[in-house]
Amino acid sequence: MKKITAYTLALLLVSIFSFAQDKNTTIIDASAAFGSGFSPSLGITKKWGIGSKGRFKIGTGVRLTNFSGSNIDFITAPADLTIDEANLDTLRLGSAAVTYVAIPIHLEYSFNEKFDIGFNIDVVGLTFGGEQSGTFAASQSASLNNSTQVGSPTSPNILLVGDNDRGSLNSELYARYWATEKLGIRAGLSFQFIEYTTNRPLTFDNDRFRAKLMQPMIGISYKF
Amino acid sequence: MFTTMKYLTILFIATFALASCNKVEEIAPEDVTPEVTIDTATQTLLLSGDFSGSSAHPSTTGKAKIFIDANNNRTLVIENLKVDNGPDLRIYLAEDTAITNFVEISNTVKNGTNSFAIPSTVNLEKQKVVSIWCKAFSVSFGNSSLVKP
Repeated sequence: MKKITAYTLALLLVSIFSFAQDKNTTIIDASAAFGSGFSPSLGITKKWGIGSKGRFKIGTGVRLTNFSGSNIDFITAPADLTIDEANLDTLRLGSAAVTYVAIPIHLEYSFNEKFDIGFNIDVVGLTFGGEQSGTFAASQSASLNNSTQVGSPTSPNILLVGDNDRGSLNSELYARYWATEKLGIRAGLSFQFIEYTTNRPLTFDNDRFRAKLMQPMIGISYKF
Repeated sequence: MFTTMKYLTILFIATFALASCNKVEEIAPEDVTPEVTIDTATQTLLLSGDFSGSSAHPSTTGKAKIFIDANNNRTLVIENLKVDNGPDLRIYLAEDTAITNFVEISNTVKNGTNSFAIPSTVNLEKQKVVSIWCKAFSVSFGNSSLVKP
């Protein structure tokens, strides 16, 4: 009886261990999105398979994203103001450049060993970058309209509901093809919020302005 | 598409997260701006205008007047104000209805007739709009554009 129990336990442990190895993966992703600007990113993700086959995976990790672009329009950001279009003003920065590090959450589905689709989005993070100047367009403010204003990247960053998000956040919707057991290629869309805070309140006592950028994205993945 | 995915992700996180108590953020009580009492009969009326409501609070009515005395002390008198109740309402003097370059005149708003001293930093050549503004939620409750009588 003791032998049967020991064998059963050993078999169970081995099967769980091998199962866990199969379903759980660690991946390094490097990607670049381009269009409104240029945005490379580099991240490492630990993913855990859910369900008996582990095809659906949830993961997290760390991602570093950089965005740079020219003549980017940043629109009034706070959710309290965005509910009324009359409140929306535009800060156009001649040059925008931010680097942000974030903890994203990843959701992925593997159709088979070769093909995955997935979505990820930054949840919390920090943004770094220098001051930039730009032109403020405010139709309801004669003294501020067409004035030059200075802003810095908003930090920290946090994902919330609706327009309550704060700071810069990256998200990706992609398909991945594993060319080899270890190396995959990804293609899809990158959607980013890039946010600047002006050095003083402008119209409607607001100093936060956000650009929403959707760009095509390609990348490579390496599985450990 | 991304918005849908974002909501799905948030829902996913929420499903797996432990329920936590929501602490309601309370607006910290601040010192109430002192009101002043003036005899308008002995002062000069500089500017006046009627309040009109905002799109969110269209029923605001009343009149705003600015008086100056012999010592150049300026006073904002708001007469017969009727405004909806709201949290964290303020009275600003600003350049326009977008409250550009505003100066806070009062951190309380009461219906009826009330008077407030105007700080010396206010430039009445430019800051000629009285705004009732909900600071907590960035919502206008009404404005009065002042003109010379």
